[in-house]
Amino acid sequence: MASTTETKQKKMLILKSADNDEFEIEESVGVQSETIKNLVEDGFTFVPLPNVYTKALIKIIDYLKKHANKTDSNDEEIKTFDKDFVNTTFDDLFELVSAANYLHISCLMNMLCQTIADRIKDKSPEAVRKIFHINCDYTPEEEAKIRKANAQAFEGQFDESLD
Amino acid sequence: MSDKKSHKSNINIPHDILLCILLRLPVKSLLRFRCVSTWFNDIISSKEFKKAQSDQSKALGRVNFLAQKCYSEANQQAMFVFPLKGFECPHVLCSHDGLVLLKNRMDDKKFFLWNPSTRQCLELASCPYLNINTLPRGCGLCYDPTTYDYKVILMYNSFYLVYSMRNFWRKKTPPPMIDQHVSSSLERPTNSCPAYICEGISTEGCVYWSIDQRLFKHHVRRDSTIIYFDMKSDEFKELPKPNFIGDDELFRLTALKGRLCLYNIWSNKESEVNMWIMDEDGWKLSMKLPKISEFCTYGSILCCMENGEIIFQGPENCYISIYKPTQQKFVIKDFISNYYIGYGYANPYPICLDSLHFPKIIHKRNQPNSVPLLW
Repeated sequence: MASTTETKQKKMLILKSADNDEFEIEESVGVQSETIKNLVEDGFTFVPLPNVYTKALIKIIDYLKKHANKTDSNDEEIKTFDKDFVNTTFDDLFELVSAANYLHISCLMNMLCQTIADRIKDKSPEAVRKIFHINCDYTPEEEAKIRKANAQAFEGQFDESLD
Repeated sequence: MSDKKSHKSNINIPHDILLCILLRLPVKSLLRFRCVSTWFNDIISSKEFKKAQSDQSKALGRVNFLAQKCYSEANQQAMFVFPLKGFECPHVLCSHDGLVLLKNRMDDKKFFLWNPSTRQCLELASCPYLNINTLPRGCGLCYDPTTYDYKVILMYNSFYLVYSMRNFWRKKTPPPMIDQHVSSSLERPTNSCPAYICEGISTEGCVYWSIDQRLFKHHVRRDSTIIYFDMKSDEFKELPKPNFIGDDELFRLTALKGRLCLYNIWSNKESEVNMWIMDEDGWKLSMKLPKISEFCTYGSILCCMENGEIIFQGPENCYISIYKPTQQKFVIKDFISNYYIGYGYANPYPICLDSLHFPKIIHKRNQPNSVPLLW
């Protein structure tokens, strides 16, 4: 009897990534995502995630599992986990932040945006362009004009590195 | 499968995610990143972004301390130096959100608004109601988010002045409750010492003072009157007396997280510091701090950070103290002096939000043959 109550408590969900890999997780872990929670409330147990790739999904499931077991005593452990979690390349962070946004996991979204902001805060505009993979669409004159208008923001040395 | 892979090599950050990232950057980085591309610039320059960035700074306790450079002293460590030529060492009258109200040291009719983060500066229309050597007794700066209007309030002995972003001053007569407290002190010469100019406590749309013994103050006793300037009506009103102030107690008025706050700085009964915060339903006891050690007793609360840390000015003028709620103790930090040698007083550290926001003068359309602005 005890075993049946246990299986009843642990409802499972299947998440399917954009590259068609399937992952089985506990419902209680999955519902930290608002997107998944809404689907679960509508009775779904199979959740296709066409915007989330396997690589990001594996990391996010790790994050959700860790944070689902949050207690008062493992605060330090979670902090260390989070620190490791964001210690990756900008491209990976962008991939993760897009996934977190799609899945509506607000605490993860906040952490990732703050990490990206902290890492680009002292960079030069040139480095930011490369990091965000965007082209400068100003004419040299326009750019010079904006630089001049914001001259005080260019005082000092900037970080040109891309990591 | 293979064509999906191509998504990975070309990462495009969606607009709303970029917005979330930019909101977490300080003003200096944002100004620099206007150069990245027109996309970045359009976001950073938009009115909505500026408002959201300012709100975010408020929520995170992202503030700058404004240390004034000493008049003649060799204290060159000022964090911000006012940029205008011929206007060095202005008097800092008050600050609210990301703005500071300054007065020309040499000309009591000239006022400026300044955002130290963006270094934008605006000279207010010269005030026609003032003579040389008239200093206000109280001053305040407030912002109405519904009209995007800022107002400056200056209180003099027998009148008060309101400046709005339409770039003119209005002269008004104070209501009897202020009059009875203040006008009797008319014989007192206007003191040239700006330490007597009491900065009002600003919350959204209102500025508060306590009047006690003929002076504008932050200290509140049982028999003090708390008045506020209501920005919508341009009038002063009296705040009903909070009933938690005992006979022999002394409270102090401040603003915490955008709300009016009263805390006991001296009490016979209480062994703790009770912090009362005003919300929609009235005064609520929001937190208790352990008895502040002696040095902090007369220190004022400067701000409250996101992590719950509370920053006090004091002991004395060259330190600030940080109350850490997790450890339930105070940490003292050395800070730049705002002390004026020879004057015997010190300015408090004005704090201002790291904000992109700066008011614009609202130009009235020309209305030929109409009566000039009414006041």
